[in-house]
Amino acid sequence: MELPSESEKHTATLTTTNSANNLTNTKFKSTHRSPLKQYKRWILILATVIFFILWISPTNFLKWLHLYNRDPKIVIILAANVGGGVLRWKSEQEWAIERLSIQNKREYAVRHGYGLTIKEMPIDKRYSHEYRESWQKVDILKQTMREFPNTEWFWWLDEETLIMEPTYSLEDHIFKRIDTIVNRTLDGFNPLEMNVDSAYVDYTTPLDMLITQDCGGFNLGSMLVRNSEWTKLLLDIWWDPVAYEQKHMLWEHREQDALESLYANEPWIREKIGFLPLRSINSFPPGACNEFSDDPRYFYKDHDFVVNMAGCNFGRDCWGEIQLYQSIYEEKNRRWYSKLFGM
Amino acid sequence: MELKSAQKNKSFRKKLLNIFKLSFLNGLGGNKNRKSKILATILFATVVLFLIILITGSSIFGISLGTGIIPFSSSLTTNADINNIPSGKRYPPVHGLNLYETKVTNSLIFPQIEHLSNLKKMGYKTLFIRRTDINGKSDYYVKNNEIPMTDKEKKQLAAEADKTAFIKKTFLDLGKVVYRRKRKSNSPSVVIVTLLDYEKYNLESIVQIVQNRVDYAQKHNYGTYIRWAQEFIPYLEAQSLDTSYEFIKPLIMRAAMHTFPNTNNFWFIDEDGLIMNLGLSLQQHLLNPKILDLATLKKVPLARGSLIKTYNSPSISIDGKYKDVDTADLIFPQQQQQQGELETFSFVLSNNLYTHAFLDYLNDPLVRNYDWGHNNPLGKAITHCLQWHPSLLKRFRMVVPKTIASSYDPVNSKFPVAENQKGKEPFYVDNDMVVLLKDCTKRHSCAEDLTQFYEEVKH
Repeated sequence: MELPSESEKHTATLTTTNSANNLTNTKFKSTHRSPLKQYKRWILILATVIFFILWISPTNFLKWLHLYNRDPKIVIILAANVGGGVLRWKSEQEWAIERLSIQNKREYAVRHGYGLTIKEMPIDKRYSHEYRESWQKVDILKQTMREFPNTEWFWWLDEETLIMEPTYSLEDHIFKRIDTIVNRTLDGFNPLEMNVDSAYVDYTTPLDMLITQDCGGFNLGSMLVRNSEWTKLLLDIWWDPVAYEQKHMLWEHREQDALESLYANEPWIREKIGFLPLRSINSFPPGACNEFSDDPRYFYKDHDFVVNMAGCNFGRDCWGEIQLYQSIYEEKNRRWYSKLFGM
Repeated sequence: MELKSAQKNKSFRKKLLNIFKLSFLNGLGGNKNRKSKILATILFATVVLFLIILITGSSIFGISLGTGIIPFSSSLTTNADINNIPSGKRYPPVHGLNLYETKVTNSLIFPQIEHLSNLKKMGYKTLFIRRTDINGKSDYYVKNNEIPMTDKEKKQLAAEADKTAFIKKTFLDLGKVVYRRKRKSNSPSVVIVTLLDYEKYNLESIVQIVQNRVDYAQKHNYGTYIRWAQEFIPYLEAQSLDTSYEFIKPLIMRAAMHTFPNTNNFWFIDEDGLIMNLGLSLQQHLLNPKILDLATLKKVPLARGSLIKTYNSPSISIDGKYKDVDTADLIFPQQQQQQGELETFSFVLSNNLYTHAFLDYLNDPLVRNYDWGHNNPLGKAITHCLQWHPSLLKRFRMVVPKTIASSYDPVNSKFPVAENQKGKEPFYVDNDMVVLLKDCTKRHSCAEDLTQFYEEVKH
């Protein structure tokens, strides 16, 4: 009998071990069935179901977990598609700004369980009259209030805004400390030099509208309104032909100027409006209000909540500014796993 | 027992461990059949995914579970540098057109009418301050930070030989009076508001007008809020009663609501008018839901030819209750003589957000100084307001003029009316609650008419 070569010997041993392994396996099967094997099918089915729920419809899943609801207490209204490409072709960059802006708010809303409604603002024929230009904001607010009758607060955001601190909730950042950060009078900061005092104003009533002021007066690019009788009445009174007939040539910022006028002359309006510091919900890039570039009250600094590229359509580079702040945002919110998910 | 459960636990843990082991092995390519291999891979992926989401709380795929277990950057900045209000900031208390006010507990507020002839002599130049701006435009104004006289000061000033200072002070202090009672329920349910023009009437007529309101108010425990129309001159841009008298009405109504914050009904009656039946309370006669519903003109154009009509809301709900009573905040009669126009000589307002907004709107200089035409400017402004602002129109009731706005017609009112026309006459007849002496200025008969009707008032 010839002695087998080294390699053959090796293979032989391998086969024997293999067969032995098989043997033990069969023995294992035959003697006591493993519980794992027993429930394997069910476990796999369950895992698949969970996976598909997560994969296909995260909102429904969250709803089921009570983490997402149809009746959010706070709804973010995002103006999108301003102009709608009616007067000129919408550029690639404008589309990109819109996408970025929407994505930014969506992530924020989902994180905190707020509602998000994106409202198109194309140029409609009924707003084409010079008296009615840019009055869509009021109509959209009215419409959204009808759409979400149980929502408490609405947060209006213009398209060219970015939420820079997605971890801040509106409750912590604004509502819980409303008494300390909101000024109900103009005594601290009064760029329009309006009368600070007014008859018939009761400062003890709850606030229904939180806005900011920039160097040029009221800024409604980022504002909070409460779902209340007062707000509905304001939205009704805001646009009035008698006022507009006299002022439409002077009121460059239309609804903003109209509100300033209402604030100055009608105590019932003044009573319910509070002023947040600009940088609490509406920080500016250096390009806006640039004649006041040394005033720290206006411009974005690290940890500011929202940045608003206010007025970037007028001779500034919206896309450049948005990109800059988007990159800051990404830098701030980068995590070790970010690359994994292409965030 | 304990041992058993511990064992069970142990075996359960083992099972779980096995599942993971298996899924790992399979995920990494064990030697099971293909089907289970794929399923196990999916299981493996799901578990990993879930863990990542749970740990990071990030919104991968738009999913998030709360704020995550490990808060990465949840701490808020203090925002000290952007917050310019000292904490615990105090706001000024609510005040009227003047900063300092005198609290009274008597609900009958009216001016010192015996000063009438002195006021006439003194004129605006003595009563107010004349100021001129850089452009050379000048107007009358009053300081809003003057402290009202104390009783002692009053006595001192009154004792002086020259009464000018006392009369001026008294005139200016009337606007600083506010009605405040500790108990809210002590407030009158209705306050009668009237403007007096010391240039138009002599003392005798003014006494009749004021006495009429006061008698009525005392009978029903109502209040009165009567002031000189001239007091409001500094708050107007067109500072003459000829042009602006109508727009002083919303000004005094707002002041009245501030003076009686807990009163809900304010009835304005023009000085050219008298309450003829003192026995009828306003609540029974008009504000009673049933009567108000009957008196309301529904689906009527707001002005002649207007496309906007008053609402036809059913006032009675299924259970027989009047459901929209509390929404009747702006009650205006239709004019009796000019059909379709709104009457501004007599109207009732409640005291809430809607009426404040309504009055503030009318008091807005942009609205007040708009060219509304010479005929019934306030009525036109109100009609405009209601036509454009449905939330106020909802609160508006146009009522038949017979209720609180019968107009005296010097020709027809004197003749007896045909039996079948009774109750429908478009002018004042006996037993109507109110007589308005419209156009008496044109006829130059205001004082005579007043005296005539004052004697006919039913007590």
